Amino acid sequence: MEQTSRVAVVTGAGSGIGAAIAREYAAAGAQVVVADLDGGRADAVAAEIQTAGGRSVAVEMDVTRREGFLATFAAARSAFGGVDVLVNNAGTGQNGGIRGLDDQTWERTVAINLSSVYYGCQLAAQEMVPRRAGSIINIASRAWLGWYGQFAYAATKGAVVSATRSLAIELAKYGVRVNCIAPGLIDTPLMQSLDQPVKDKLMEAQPTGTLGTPEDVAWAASFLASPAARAVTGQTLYVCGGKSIYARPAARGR
Amino acid sequence: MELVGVGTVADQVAEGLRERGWDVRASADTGAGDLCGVLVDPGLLIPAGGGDEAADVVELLRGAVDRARARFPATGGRVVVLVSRDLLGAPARTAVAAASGALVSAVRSLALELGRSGITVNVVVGLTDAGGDDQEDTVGAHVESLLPWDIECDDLAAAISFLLDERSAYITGQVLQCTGGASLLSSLSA
Ligand SMILES: NC(=O)c1ccc[n+]([C@@H]2O[C@H](COP(=O)([O-])OP(=O)(O)OC[C@H]3O[C@@H](n4cnc5c(N)ncnc54)[C@H](O)[C@@H]3O)[C@@H](O)[C@H]2O)c1
Repeated sequence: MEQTSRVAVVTGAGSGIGAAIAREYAAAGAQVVVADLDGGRADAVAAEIQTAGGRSVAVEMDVTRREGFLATFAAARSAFGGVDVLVNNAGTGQNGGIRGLDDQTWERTVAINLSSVYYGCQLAAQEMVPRRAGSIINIASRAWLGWYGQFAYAATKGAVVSATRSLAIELAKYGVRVNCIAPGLIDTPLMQSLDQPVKDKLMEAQPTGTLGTPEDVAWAASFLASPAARAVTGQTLYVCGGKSIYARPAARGR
Repeated sequence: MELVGVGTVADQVAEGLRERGWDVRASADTGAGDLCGVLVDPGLLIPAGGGDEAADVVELLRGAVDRARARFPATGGRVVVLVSRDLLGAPARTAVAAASGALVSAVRSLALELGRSGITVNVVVGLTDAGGDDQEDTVGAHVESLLPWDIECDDLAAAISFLLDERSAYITGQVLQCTGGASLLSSLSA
């Protein structure tokens, strides 16, 4: 959807969902800052956008550090004059029961999935409130509703949902909208790495019987950033093939 | 992109959809050939005040979906239902609240039922004007929206159009709040 003359920062845009959002925004006319820990991947996505006729710069940054966001916003300002849209997308999965969860994994999950949203939202608010406009989109996960072996992942994504709601309330009067997307199963390298039987089981639990694509999420992110979503703030938009309605848990004793 | 409106689709909403390229028709029984989507609007944003809002809305939806299925192509179709934010609970408007809540549950059920057929079923939530009588102003949200601008019928049309789009295939059984944040602070809105 129409994003003409907007500047968008997308974190974790070197791969999967983030890359699809960056491409979608650029194709709709936005100028896009492709931010990722992996500078090479960020460069590749930005180059691809430029080749397609879009405007984009790449920034190698770490979302777990405030400096990473300071550098990214500075790059956005110097290349394109400011930030109209921030997509906090970079994230990491955690899988495994709580008995095997170690402190390092817990802390890393909190840092990548949650501290990142704190730094990003704070800088975005400072940038957007004086201009009385802007849109922040946080990528949560349907898994925030709870799932096996997802103690850390679900906890951080649930925090992203509630942080989104609080910030939406706080920034509404300044005309800044804050929403989150809760994707379900999406076909990214992470999904592709799973064993076939695991994949089959996951697909069985999908009401649509289909696997989502990064482009499905990018489409939703495009709506939320656009004037079409002018009435929408504080929303958790599930892009999950209906799995958030109800997912049949595995048999007892799993 | 033929779209059938069932119920009391407000003129401004229909107009907003036409501006976005939808060919809005009045009822699902007329016409032949492929149909892209159905908008079911039981008129809950403009309550009649009679108190019978809850009575027939689920039947209205079920009937609209059954008729539309015959005209959706094999790849599926889109159903969008317009309800009121009153579903979160609204003093003195129990009928609108109940009708809206019933439709959300019905939509979620239909989404599960129709998931494999490529048909998505979703809800758009608007604000019902507490004032009531002035039809021109009924979807206006001067009091409740937290955003500094009014929520217009055209905003509802924009959200409906998003969900009707073929690219929204992976979104089903969902509730999209077009209330300017007025649905926050409710346990039913996450
Ligand atoms: N794929 C799914 O099924 C799915 C489902 C629900 C939610 N999500 C969420 O969507 C988001 C994107 O997921 P994806 O599947 O596209 O992942 P991905 O692994 O394909 O891409 C994540 C990107 O983030 C980058 N990144 C990781 N740590 C970073 C850091 N510290 N600083 C900056 N960049 C960093 C990586 O380099 C990578 O390019 C995540 O927040 C994830 O939790 C994904």
